[in-house]
Amino acid sequence: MIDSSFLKNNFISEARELLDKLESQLLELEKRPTDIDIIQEIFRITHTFKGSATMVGFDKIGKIAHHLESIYDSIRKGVLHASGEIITLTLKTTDVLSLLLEKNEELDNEEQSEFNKLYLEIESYSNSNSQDSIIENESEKSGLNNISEIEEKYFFIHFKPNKDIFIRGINPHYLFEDIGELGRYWSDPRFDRETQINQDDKKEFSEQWIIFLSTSKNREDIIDQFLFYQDDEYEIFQIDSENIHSDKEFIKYYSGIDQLKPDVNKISEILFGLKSDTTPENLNITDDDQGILANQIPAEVDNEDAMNEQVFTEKSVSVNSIESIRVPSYKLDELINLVSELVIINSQLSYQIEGTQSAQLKKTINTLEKLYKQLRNNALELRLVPIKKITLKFQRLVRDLSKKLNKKVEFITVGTDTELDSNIISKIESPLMHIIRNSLDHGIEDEETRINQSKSPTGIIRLISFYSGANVFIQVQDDGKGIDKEFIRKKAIEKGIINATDKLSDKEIYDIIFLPGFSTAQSLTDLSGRGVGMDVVKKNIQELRGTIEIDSEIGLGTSVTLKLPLTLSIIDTLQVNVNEKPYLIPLNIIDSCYKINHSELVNSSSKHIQFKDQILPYIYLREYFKLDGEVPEIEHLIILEYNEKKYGLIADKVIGEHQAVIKPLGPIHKNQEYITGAGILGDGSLAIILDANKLILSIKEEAIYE
Amino acid sequence: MKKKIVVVDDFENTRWIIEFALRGIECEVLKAENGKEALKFFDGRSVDLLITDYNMPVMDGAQLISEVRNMESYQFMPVIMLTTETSEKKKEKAKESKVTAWIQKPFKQEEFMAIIKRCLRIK
Repeated sequence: MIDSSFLKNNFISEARELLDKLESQLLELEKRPTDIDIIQEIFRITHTFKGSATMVGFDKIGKIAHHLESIYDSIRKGVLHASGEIITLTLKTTDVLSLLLEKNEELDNEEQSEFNKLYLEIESYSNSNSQDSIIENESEKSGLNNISEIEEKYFFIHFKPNKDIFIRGINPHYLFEDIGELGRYWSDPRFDRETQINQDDKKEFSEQWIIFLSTSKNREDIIDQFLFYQDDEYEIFQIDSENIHSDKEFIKYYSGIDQLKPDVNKISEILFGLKSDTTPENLNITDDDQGILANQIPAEVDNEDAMNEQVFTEKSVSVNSIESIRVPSYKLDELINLVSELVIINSQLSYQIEGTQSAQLKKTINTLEKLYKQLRNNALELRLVPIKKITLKFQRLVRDLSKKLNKKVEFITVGTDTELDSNIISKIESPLMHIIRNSLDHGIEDEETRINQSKSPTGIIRLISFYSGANVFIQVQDDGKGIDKEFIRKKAIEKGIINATDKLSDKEIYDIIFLPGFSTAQSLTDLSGRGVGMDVVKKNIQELRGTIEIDSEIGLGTSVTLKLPLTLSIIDTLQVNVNEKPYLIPLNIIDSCYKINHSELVNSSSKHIQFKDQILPYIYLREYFKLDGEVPEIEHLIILEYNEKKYGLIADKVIGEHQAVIKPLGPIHKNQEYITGAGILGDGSLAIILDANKLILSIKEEAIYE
Repeated sequence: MKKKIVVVDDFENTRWIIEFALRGIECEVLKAENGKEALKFFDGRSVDLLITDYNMPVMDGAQLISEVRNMESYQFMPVIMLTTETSEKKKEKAKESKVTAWIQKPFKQEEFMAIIKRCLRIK
């Protein structure tokens, strides 16, 4: 037995996908309200939705979906028109449906009243047509057993291959095999009276069969089996098993073969035998004629087997048709973890054989290495999800917001097949949402302004994603008013972020936008400025080891570019040693490395070090991790850059770059904030990967504290 | 076991298309430009299927088939004739060549595969 929670969970994930699909179809429908394909698709989705929801016991969802189904049924039948009103209502309904899913149908009072309101609204639309949908629903329930209830049909086949059949490369034995796959059959060979059989010449062949077949398939399916035979080599009749006598055509044809009045009772008996489960005795080739065929037709077709085989092939067909498999993401994580383990073992192997002479061994290990790499890439690819998965939500966001703001906006997506690690995808959703919201709210002008500036009245927001190297770029472009640099400059001076005398490059000015506490919105609308600023966006992207950049041209528009790593589980690092112990620092945050004298540190006060013309706050790793041991005279200063500010990190020695597979640490280290995970070095030793962003934050805190 | 399929056509492009169409099947494709050249594949080793064009220089499809059919090992081998002929008369002639099936060029991948699979007894 499958327990109901399993079904429910399965339904929930299926339902989310269906809702996403529904939403995208609705947005399409809005553009082309008469497109019957879209309407059909929407109808189909609501239909599936209703069925699955009711099956797992989501009554409310089932009811709503039922009404949606009726509405779209009416639309596809031309009774209703897919008006903007209906589309908006349906979109609203999808929101309610996802809420119901999320809350397991347990709504609080406020939500309940919302639900009731919406429900009445949909109901009023669907009422006109609800009657027959209910009937359909009933028939669906009983339809579950359809398979076993399919009516068995009986066919009579007269198989009379021409004598050149073997020379044509056809083995008639296969025909029996194929017919056996259609159902149960009974066959009887007949000599052709006019041709003498020449036992010596195998090339000449003269034999006919009469076959009775019981099958759920149609006449066409039987004809299909005769693909290689000419039209005059077979004759097929469908017969009524209850009423053989009255089937004149069949009787007439049958008499023609036998030149006798057919023994109807015998035929009935045969058919009855096919019907019941007991295997009729005379099932296959019988009599003494068998000898002729013994050479060419080796095996008897066992009906029982043929039946089993049929079931089997049906199954394998359905397996083939599955395009994707749902796998819980923790299983993927586990797989990738194991694969990276293999990669590590492999690098250890290559390290260990360095000294050996055996060319054979080296070759094997090289091959192994290649395989591992392929395996790793494949495994990592499993985690990749097309960006399409989230762009749909943006489509909806743009639609709703543009209505609210009374701006005409078209949202265009390019390269939504670009794939990213599913972890990254889920984490860039809200930053992207924020950026798009900004474009809509601050970028795109209202219609009037646009017309005055001789721009097209409809604004355009583009979401473009593409690969470049080991990164994925996501760009949000708008053709709005662009960013007024002077305005930002003034504002920044006002807020004391920069000095009036500071000379800033364009890039530096745009980067001000990402600073905490900077917001250009003159009045906070309910869209932008929900307390989440661009600084949070930048922080989120940086946590994913990505970068964000703004480019803008006044009057022409703005583009925001995110650069993200393809995956989160592999990271380029710099290996440094402290007290002979390796540490890994993400490479993307490192600005430069220098040697310094230990004495300089001793002389420096309050955790700041003077380096060239800068004074940098720093972390002394030896102290930070409370390590003992001899302090070397010459140490290394690694300069990190975060948010345009520089910070120092002091280690004993810089070893070099290392591409690390991030391994999670055990539960004991779960609360260790400054550690991303561990990487394994070529010699098998463990190195801690430092979370540089968190480290920097701690530097900041300490600096403030002191 | 890998199926062996001999493909005979005087156009390289057609041979290539057929080989490409067969990529879904685990098979070894042996290609020849005309009947005469194709005969070298019928040296006693097993061949599961012959796909041949009708009109070819040096030795045409019908000749090839009759040559092959005269050899003990290949007398019952399935043969598919590819024809560009649309006239019924020519088709009749192709039929006389004792082929298992004939396929009209240009063919549709699905139809082609249905016939091939049935010839090779592949599901």
